[in-house]
Amino acid sequence: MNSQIKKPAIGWTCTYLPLEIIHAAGFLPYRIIGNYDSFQLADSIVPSNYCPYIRNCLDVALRGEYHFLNGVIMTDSCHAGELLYDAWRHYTNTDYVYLLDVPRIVNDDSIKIFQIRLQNFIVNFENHFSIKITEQSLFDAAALYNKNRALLENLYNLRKLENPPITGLEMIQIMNKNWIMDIESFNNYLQHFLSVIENNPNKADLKNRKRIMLMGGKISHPELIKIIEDDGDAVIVFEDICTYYRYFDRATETDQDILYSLSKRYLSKIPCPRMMDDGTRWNAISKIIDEYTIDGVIYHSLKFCVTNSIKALTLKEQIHEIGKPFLYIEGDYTLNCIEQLRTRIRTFLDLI
Amino acid sequence: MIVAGIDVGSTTTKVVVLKAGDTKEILGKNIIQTGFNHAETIEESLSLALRSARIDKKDITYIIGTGYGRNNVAFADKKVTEIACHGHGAHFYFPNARTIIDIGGQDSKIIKLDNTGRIIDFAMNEKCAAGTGRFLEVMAKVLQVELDQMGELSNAATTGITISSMCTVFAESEVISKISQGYRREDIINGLHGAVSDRVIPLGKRLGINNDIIMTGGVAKNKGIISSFEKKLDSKIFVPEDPQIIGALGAALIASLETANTKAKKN
Repeated sequence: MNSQIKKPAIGWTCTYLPLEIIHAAGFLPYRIIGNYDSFQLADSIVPSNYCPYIRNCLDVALRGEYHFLNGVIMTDSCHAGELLYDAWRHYTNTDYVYLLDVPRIVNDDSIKIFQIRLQNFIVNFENHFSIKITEQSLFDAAALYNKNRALLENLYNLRKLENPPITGLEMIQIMNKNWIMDIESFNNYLQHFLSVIENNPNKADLKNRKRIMLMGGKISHPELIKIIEDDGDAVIVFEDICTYYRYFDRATETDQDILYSLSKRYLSKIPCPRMMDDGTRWNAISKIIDEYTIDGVIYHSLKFCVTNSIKALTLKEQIHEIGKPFLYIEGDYTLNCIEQLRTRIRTFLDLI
Repeated sequence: MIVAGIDVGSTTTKVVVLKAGDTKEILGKNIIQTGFNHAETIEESLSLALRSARIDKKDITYIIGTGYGRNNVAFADKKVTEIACHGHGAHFYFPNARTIIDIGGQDSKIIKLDNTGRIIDFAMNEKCAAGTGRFLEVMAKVLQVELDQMGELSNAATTGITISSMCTVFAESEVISKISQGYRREDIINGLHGAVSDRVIPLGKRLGINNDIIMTGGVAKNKGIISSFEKKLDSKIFVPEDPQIIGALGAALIASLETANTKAKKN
């Protein structure tokens, strides 16, 4: 897991954490995704009817497999995220564990409040590691991440085409590189990848496939994507899941106070279901369904995920109202019960 | 033209051999326990169904595999999910079917049809045996009764009992505590049937339950379950003659459509 890591790394779990700060501090932001398999050690601490993603990540941490991290930063995105912070702090030897408090409401006041929290976080981080995060380094990091987001947006724009240049499986493989690669190398990789597909636009014929939007929380394993695409009659053209669009939507403004701009960018991007529902999310999603000519929506929630499962109820009605089919499925962050999901997905694709 | 549907379920494997064309007729059928080796089970069930139909395997023009083991029907011309098959099978017997409750060994499903028999929505239980045939099988063992006696026994219930645990394992301990409290077997079984319908009805309510309601799958053979659903939904539940083979029958019906389509294309 850590053989590819060439510089000191900081673990992160949620796209509400401004990765620019970690990069500006000279660390590699390393996304914590667990191993989709082990729960035994975590289950001696956490009830088993708790978020399986959190239990799995904690288990891998308790096994010592995240020892190479110099620190981890959680957000209070949901109660499970807070629990991961508490358990990680108490039960592992990780040197630095921090919980960043993220507002749930987006307005001028909350942007100012989040800016203060980012400032406090930076001071805490600087003191712990005896380093200085300069304003210039934050501007530089913001430019790098803006470039990254623009490249991903270019790639997504190509997926709007009648014949999208990549499958959902290729997309998840690309994004999984992003979580362990240095941002500059990933930008170079993306740039190269884009030039290859732009010069070779018709490598696969995905034209007549049913166009699927995948929604939900944590999905980093390709297996679910394969079930959707393997029979050859469907292709995922958009993902609204924990990373992906929630990661690259909106650039950070670089013409004013950088912490204010970071705060504004992170709070104003497409809201995750944990945010207060003021209509912004549905406006964004209905626009995406239109622009990407989505034929059907598959919504995957982890078991016991209150945030994602409850928000799916209203979303289902909204999506049915615009005449699109919607499938809700649940997973337990393992690959053990994949056949039952296959039956649901196959039937759903037949209905489209 | 003769076609076949093979439904490899979690508990039993079902085969229906069907005379395709304008007047469809079930020529032969078979139900056996699904063994560890799916391929062997499938061969055995098919050959038994063929024998009952007095037909040779080479006379079958099209075979569809369904059920959770459908991908192990190596010689199938096509594989279709059991949800689609139960839709077709139920619609064949009951053209007014709008809601199908299918309870099998490990799944319970609600399937909604439009007036042409097309599936418009469905819901399935989550990864758990609550409210399935397996749940009743485990309970039958605890209560020392045969699975197929449960329906009749529950009709003799006199006291209402609520089994509140959804989980098969916890419900088993609940049943054991009812036994030690001295409740009658009939009353406990009746309570268990109530637990199954309590588990399945909310699934259906999410989609909306419309008449006519049809029940398919092995659990539909249990009259106690049927009357529990009828009471709670305040509606008649229609059950086909042999509810367990409806998935296999649906697969054979889709096979007959497929052969008709290829024929039409050729012409």
